[in-house]
Amino acid sequence: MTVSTINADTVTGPDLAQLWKTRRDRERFQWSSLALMTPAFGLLAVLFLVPMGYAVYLGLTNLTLVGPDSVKWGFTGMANLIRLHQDTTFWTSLWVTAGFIGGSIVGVVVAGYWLASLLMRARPWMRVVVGGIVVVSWMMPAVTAGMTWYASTTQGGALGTLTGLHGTNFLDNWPLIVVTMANVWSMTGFSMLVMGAALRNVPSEAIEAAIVENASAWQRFRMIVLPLLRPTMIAVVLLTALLSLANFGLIYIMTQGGPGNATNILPLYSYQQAFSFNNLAYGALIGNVMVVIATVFGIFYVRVASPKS
Amino acid sequence: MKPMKRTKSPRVFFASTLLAMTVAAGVSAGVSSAGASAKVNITVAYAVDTTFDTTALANKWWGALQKEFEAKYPNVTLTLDPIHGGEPDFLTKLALQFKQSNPPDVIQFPSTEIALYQSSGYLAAMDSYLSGSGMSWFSQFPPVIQNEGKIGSHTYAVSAGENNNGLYYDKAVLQKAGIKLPWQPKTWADIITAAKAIKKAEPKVIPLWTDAGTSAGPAGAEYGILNLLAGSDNPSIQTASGKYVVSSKGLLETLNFYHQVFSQGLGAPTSQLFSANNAPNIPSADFAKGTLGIAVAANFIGGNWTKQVSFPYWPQASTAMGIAGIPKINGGGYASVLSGWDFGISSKTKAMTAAQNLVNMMQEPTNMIEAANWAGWVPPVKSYWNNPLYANFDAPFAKEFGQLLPWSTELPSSANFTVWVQGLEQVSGTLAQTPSTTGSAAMAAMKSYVTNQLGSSSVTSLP
Amino acid sequence: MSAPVLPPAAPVEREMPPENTSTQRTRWRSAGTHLTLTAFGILFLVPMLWLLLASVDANASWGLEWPHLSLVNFRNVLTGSLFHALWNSVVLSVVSTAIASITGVFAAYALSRRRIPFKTSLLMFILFSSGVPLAIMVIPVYEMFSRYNLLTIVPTAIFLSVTSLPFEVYLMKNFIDAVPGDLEEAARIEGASTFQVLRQVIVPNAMPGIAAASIFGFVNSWGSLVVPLILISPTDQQPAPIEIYTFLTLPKPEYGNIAAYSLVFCVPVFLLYAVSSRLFREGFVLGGGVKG
Repeated sequence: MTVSTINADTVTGPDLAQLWKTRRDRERFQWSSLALMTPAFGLLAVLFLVPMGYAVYLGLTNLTLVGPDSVKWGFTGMANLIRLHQDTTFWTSLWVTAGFIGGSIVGVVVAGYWLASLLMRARPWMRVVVGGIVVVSWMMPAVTAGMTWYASTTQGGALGTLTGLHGTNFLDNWPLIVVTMANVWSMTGFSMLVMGAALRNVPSEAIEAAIVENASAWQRFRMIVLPLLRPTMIAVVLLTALLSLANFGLIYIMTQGGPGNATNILPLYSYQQAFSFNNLAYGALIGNVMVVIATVFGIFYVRVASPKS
Repeated sequence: MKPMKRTKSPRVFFASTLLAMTVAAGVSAGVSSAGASAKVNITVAYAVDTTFDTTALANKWWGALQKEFEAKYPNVTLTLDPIHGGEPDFLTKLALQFKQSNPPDVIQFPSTEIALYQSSGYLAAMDSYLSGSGMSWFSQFPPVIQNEGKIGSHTYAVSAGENNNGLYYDKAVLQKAGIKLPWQPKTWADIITAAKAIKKAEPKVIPLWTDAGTSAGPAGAEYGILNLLAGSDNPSIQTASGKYVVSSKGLLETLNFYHQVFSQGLGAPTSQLFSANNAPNIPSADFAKGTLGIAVAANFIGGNWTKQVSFPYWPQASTAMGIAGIPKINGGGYASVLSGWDFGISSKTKAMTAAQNLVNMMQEPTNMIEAANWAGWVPPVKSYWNNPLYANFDAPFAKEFGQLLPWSTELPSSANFTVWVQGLEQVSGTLAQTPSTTGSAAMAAMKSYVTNQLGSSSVTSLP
Repeated sequence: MSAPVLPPAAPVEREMPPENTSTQRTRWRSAGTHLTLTAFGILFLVPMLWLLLASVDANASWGLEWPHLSLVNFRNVLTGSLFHALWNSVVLSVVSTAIASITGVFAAYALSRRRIPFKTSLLMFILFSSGVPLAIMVIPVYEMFSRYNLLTIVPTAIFLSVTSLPFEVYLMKNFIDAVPGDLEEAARIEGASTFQVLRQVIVPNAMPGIAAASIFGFVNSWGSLVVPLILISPTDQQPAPIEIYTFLTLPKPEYGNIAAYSLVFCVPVFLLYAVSSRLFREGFVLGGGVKG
């Protein structure tokens, strides 16, 4: 029975039910879909959701890495939360992280946009050379980037040699600034590429018209470029924030969080508490705070990145 | 597109069969190996990069030991587990290994960790084995070193070698500054006077090296600031009830000393002090270059100048350098802290006899002395000090540091010690980097940090 | 998590606004552009300079000096335990990429083509978890793994695959969405099973996306430091990033070796990106490189 053979006057209930089953515009649920979904979602359940839940519990216990509390440990209720509230190093770490993320966002967006707009106007060979250098710096794994920046900014390193300030220890004197610069250096490449692609979509006639009307560079930017670039910029901001928040390798290699707590961002402080200070549970709690912050960023990311259909 | 058969792809069937077979093979292999061999296997874990003076020497000692052990006990296989990285990383990794159900059977670890590991139940009590015959080496340990591994009424670890600390000075530099040799300051003020004289006579030389900052972990403090604290009017770090001291006359005096050193430009630059490249070794390089006057440093520095270690190789070291004890603040003797590396046996070991045999072999004169030579330790067995192997190893000043050993005091061994030291080193770093910081400001900052981290019920202030 | 941004297609030469060649302004502008770009270029090059120079320098130090040209550093790092660590990195990354890509393709296909209950929520979940840096979940995972003695390289690879999985699924689904339905219809009419459809229709046509996702996963695992640092216990199973970190803590750092090793470590990443840029002539994907 097909739709075309139905006679509206004589069709019965069971007939319609039969028709319903053979509809081709509505997917039937197939059991093989379960087989397709299970491996990936099973892994996500076991190694993402379960640890997330476990982390929430762990953060409220007194588990330590070594010592009596590593063998016999249990739920301690609000104790860790109270401790978190009173932990001055935690609040310092929060500030340092905010500074690191903020500085990185500003650097990455500004440098990325600037480079992208400069490259558009440059000669092809310059585009390849400079663009290539910036992209290569982005491709470097964080560990290598940290290593090269450490070598360059420590006393007697490349920066000292080139500026003639051989005795200055840039890294230990201005640690947060230097690691933020290293982070910006390692992320500008992608920002430049993304902005470059978006800039290509800015209609040249609009720019020309603006030049003819003697609009200044700033006005051109504000009126024409910025609105068109806004979604791209927001995406860059969010991604930079997320990646900087999770950044462990770069700073760990360069300063291990020091000197003092000057570059002790949350992932490093969590590691320090859990593994250097033996407080595994408290370290997990700090990790939970990071997840909350990342979730907030993540929600914004979803709003921006999900297809507007 | 070519027509497809409805039948299930034979390849899928083949692949899944292969997978099942592999899994089965793997499982059965695991099962069979458990019961099959009669050979015993023990594992020993150690810090390969930071125990001996160089990684190469560590590999040499452990490699030779493995050969000797397996030759003497043919039914035992000794697996070496060299853990890489600085001391903080080694400690983390070792703790991670002990969380598993099959930790290493024997470990070589810092003495400051003994109480921690024992309280987790990780270590086996060694008394019955140590009181047996053939263990004469243990009875020859000075009592303070025997007690190093004693918790309650049992011994859980035995010392492999000890580090103590003193003042190194470059004779030529001091002579130029008009200081009479041999130099032995009687008070802390004497040290400052000498440093000032050096600074005046030779502006390009670092007058005084004292550790600062957190980059070297607890070890940095053990070879530096803690020795000064030990010589202060109140050297207490932990009270009998287990609380950590966050404010005391001794701490204030120590931090004031640091303030004096750094505010008068007498200390080393932060680029060296905060160096991640194992700052405690830097003095040996600086002395050889003639750019350092005096250093508060550990006994292993002397060994750095031998050919075997070569950091750098400086044959004239024994005549160009001099050793002095670190004086107490107002005189009346010397001060130093004792830190060392110990052997422990895991409480979960399934091969206790083999483990005990291994420890015994490692403490034999040749092995222990070679370790002491190459790691810069004082061997804990007194009679070994006169053993030609130790005396003739061309490490300068081994004898002098042996003589300073009785002045040394032990360090606390508990989890909170790491946090307390972190607090202390954070402020020592601040004093080095911001010389205008006063001693009392530094102590207040340390008190606030440590109290905040450990909780006010775990800390105390002393007069 | 974010995907790698792949270099855009060979840039289309844009029409520049007609230059008024007689004005000083445009000439100054052009000079300014090129000068600024040169400055940028130098700024970005400087840190890499040390890496290049020290790796071929027999007596390297932290400073920037003209090298005593020699390949001894490369010889040192390509042997022994250092080389073994590189091999461990390969194992770790290949296993993790294989798991993520294979499971990811299945899930992406199902999400794209099939009726799945709660599909929208699942998609939201996928998108959301690509934003959460899963690597910071390492402490509870450590606790779990240590209980069952899983602190070795293969379980760590599985965890790493999970950290890239959400974004890979998201990316692959988008590409599978773009594969025309009629190709699949045709195959089904001829009696193909799901597996055959995947193998013969979907995968070949969505290959650029699958490759991009796999490359993203590989790079993610290759560069990870904190996960293997905590989750891999035996020292002979540790990957290269840990060796690089260890270099720094040695009393007598071998600067030349560090540089050479770091350089060698970068090579697979560069190769993969070069390969991937070729796969993306026609398009351009939003995302970012993963560090940490």
